[in-house]
Amino acid sequence: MTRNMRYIIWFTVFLCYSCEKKSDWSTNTDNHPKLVVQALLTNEYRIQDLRLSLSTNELNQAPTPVEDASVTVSTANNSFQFTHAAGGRYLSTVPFSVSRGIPHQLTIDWNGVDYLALSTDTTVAPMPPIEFAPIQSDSTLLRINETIPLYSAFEQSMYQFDIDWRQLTGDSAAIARIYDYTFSDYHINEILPPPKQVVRFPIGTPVIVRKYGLNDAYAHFLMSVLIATEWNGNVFYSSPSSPPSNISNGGLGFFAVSRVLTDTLIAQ
Amino acid sequence: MRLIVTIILFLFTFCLNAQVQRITVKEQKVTISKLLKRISKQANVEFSYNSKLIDKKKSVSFNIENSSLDQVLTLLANTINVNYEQFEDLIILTRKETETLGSKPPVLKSPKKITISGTLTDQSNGESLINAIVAVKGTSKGVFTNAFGFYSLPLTVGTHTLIFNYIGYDQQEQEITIKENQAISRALAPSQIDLPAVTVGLPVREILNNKLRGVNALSAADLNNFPEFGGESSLTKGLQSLPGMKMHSDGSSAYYSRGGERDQNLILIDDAPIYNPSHLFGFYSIVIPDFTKSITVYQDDMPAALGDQLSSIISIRTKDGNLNKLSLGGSVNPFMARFSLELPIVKQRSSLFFTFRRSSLGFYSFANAQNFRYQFHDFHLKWNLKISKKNRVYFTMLQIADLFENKSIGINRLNWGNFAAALRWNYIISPKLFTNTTIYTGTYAFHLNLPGNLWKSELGNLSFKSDFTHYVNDKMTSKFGFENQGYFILPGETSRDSSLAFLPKITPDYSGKSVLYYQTEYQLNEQWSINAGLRCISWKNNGPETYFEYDDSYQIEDTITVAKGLYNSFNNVDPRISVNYSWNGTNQFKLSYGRYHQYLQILSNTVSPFSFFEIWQPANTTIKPQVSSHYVLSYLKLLKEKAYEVNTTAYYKRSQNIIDYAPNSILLDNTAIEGTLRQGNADAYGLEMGIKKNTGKLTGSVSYNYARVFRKTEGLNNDQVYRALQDRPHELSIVANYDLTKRIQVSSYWTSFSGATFSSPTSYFEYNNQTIPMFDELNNDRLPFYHRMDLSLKFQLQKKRDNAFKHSLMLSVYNVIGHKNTYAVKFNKLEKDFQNPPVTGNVLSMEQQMATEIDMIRFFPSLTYKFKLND
Repeated sequence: MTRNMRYIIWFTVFLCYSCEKKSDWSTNTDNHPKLVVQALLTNEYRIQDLRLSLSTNELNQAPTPVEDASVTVSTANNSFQFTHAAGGRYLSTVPFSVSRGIPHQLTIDWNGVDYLALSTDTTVAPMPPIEFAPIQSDSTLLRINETIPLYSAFEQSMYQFDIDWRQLTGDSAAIARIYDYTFSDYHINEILPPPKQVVRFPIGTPVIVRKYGLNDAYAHFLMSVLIATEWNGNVFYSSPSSPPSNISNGGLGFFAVSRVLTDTLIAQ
Repeated sequence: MRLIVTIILFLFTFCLNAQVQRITVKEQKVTISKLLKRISKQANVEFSYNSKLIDKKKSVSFNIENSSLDQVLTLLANTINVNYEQFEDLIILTRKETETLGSKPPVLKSPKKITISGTLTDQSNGESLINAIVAVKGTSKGVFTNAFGFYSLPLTVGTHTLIFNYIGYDQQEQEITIKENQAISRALAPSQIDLPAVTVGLPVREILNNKLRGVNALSAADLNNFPEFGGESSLTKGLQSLPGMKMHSDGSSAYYSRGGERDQNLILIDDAPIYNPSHLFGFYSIVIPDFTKSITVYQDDMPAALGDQLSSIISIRTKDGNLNKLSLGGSVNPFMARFSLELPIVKQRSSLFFTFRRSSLGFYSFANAQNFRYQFHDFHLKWNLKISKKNRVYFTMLQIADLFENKSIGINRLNWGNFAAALRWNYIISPKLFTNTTIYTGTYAFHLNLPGNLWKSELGNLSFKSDFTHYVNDKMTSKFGFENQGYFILPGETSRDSSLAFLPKITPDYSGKSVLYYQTEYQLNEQWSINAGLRCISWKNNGPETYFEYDDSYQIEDTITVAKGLYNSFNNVDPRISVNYSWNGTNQFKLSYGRYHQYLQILSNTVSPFSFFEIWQPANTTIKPQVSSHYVLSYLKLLKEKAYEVNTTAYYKRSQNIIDYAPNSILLDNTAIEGTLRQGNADAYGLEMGIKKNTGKLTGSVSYNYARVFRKTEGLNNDQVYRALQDRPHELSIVANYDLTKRIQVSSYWTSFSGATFSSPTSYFEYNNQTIPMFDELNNDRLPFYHRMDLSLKFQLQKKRDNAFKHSLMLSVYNVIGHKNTYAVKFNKLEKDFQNPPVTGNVLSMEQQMATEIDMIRFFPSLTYKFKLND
């Protein structure tokens, strides 16, 4: 059988097989909006920030920021006030860093309800070598090489890659943020995940890498987020569930404190 | 290894063959009794005769040397003045007619109960016929042959006309005069014309009983007629066409029986369990129709001898192999090739049956897909030997394997497979007592090789079972026996390169099960009969083991290490009873109740159709055995000369300790996996209605089912009732086979059913610039209706139907209407207009996300060439 013939057979087979198309599926999402907390405080001595918003009923719907909450982060010895800046973003009134091994409590007073959350940081393992890989179709472009281990029994980490090549191209949209993770568990959805959007950037792009150490609760939250999003739709997908939250009184999202490492690279 | 086994079997049976070649008897004065014994011993045959017609003490002279059995029997007939008739290894002696003329028949003082027994076989190949009928003409008295072709029919002394009947075979009648227990075996010839499945004069009540019990619900012929997927008939596709059985979706071998879970179905091949019946992620079934003799599907009123699964038991009996002549067959299509060989080792006494099937998908690998490889194969072997008229042994072995590689996505190798073997010994203790003793094993292993990483899940059992059937009298038949099973279970273990990481050690589990059972079928009168049984089960967990105890919030509160030996057990008695009422010979009601326990389950929170990623776990100190009570009312009516069957079944099932999972559970490599489980209740009810046409040019069935399944599990769905994944209220199924000409048959299958339930988002929130869906209600949404029509055209290539060499072409189209059958809806893909839209990589991109529907097969044709020699 010639190679062409084999191509034709395969092509025919794949035409008949799996097909994923856009759908106008409507969901029953007539829910009362809930408070969403997005708070990751670190051991960097700086103005810490967090975001408050409301949940939405539609996909792609911009969340409504919560601007009138009273926010405090406290430990046994200190208390830090946060004030609203803009768009639901709250900034600490003074710079501070999270204290090692000490529980931090977030208190949000909004609409007469107190939302509480507790979090304690954990260590962060050393930054591994970060690699870039060339794009096959264009040798002037690179991507982040997937060398971050999915699993480690010794650490749980979140990597944040901030990639900015606006100065190289003049394109105001030439900016990207990518997350990657290492967990001490692995979920069935991790195996053969669905294809992921590839971020391509030119050689010479500055990349800031931040590595956060994750405590067990925050790692579980982030893994649940991935199960519902990035890993959802793999070959062995599980029934999705809502990510857990450590916010009391029905709040969504998560409050975490973390130790962080930062590195700045030039993509080569 | 296979070769060695084959050679041993060959040698063994050839040795036996050598022993029965020639006969020598030299006696000047010998009693007929001793003479018959000597011939019997040398020829390995048995004689049957009426001792009142032949004087056993009479002495005769008999001289013959190195002669065949025929020569010996001819001399014997002349010497002692009898006629003889041979049926396999049974020689029946009757007085010559000339001798009986004018003689008076013996005077009988009173009718005496005797039993006739024997086996029914296929004349062409010696296969024992399962569920064939032996009936007394003009009465409603009749019995079925058992799984080994044996029957036992109580009668009174006197003259009777016996009917020997089996679907697809010429019916035989024989008038016999019997005065004592007698062995009568018959070989039936395959019919060249289609006969009604039920004919006048047969024991209709028993036929109705069997139909309501699921006997022959699906035959190998049904599977062969079924429109094929990818050129191959499939057991699971056939099962999914039965009322009460629901498929998961395209590409899945999972099926659900009357609202049960997919792991609540047991598939037995010659008593050995098959834990995963699928190839190619579920597209193909491991059971090769050519290897299959009968399929019995129990969805209720499950026999006490089988278990323990809550929803269905599929008992498959394989062919023995041609005892008369070499036979071979096979098929070829673009996706796979299959070959089978039936080899008589000792004519009429021993044969071998091999089947080998291999996918040809690897053939299509080409230059830019060098990292991709997929293949599967099956090897089936059956050997049987008739040691004597009362003893027969069978050996069945199945080895099934799949291999998948795609290094470009990080899968070095993914392989899974089943191995099953059963050694069975039939022994007829007396005409009324039949026993079958089986040693069997079944194993399943799943290995996933990622770079530096091997994940494996394994399960195996070794079992011994002894089963007795006592044909007490013409009103009562009892089955009883015992079984001991030992299980080895590795519920998912990962080993990695130690330089990369360290993973928790998952310890294997050793469990055992002991079973005692008794079941009796009693006919109260012409209308009423009752079938009742008890299954007493003792499930044992054995150490060494380390396990956890959990508090009310499923957190570990204690770690317990136990030494070798028993550390936990469950003892249960599962009753079952059914009452049958029949009238007019064409109507039957059945009301049944059964309570069943299940001790072994799959732990898997995946809802994907590709569902082979499985962890098996036994009941233990934390996982309670699943339990279910079935209440079923069935009605069956035969119409129009019994060519049509109308069947209606209503059922209600109440199940407890059904397994579900905490949200976002981690099941892989979880030493505390029990902490992620949530056990709750399930209620299933439904109504199944169907009509089936068995004869004529057009055969087939139409069925409609209404079925619901609801679950309630503490800690899930806010403690509210939720629909199960398999809750699909409406289902319509149509099967039609039409003989266009003598050589062309068209088959079609239509199915429509409500889509599966799934959880769709109830709200969204934003975190780290990502949109996160929330799922506040379990299974709150439903996939679209599923519609599919399959078509096949079978063209017989040889002109004469009874040619020794038969071959045909089959053109099949799966989902000929090209309907988009959605199996999943996702809400996390970026709006891209190409085949596989990606998930978000750059969280700062402003690209919109969209909902997507995923379907699998819209139109799939295949062309298969099949052949058979000496079928």
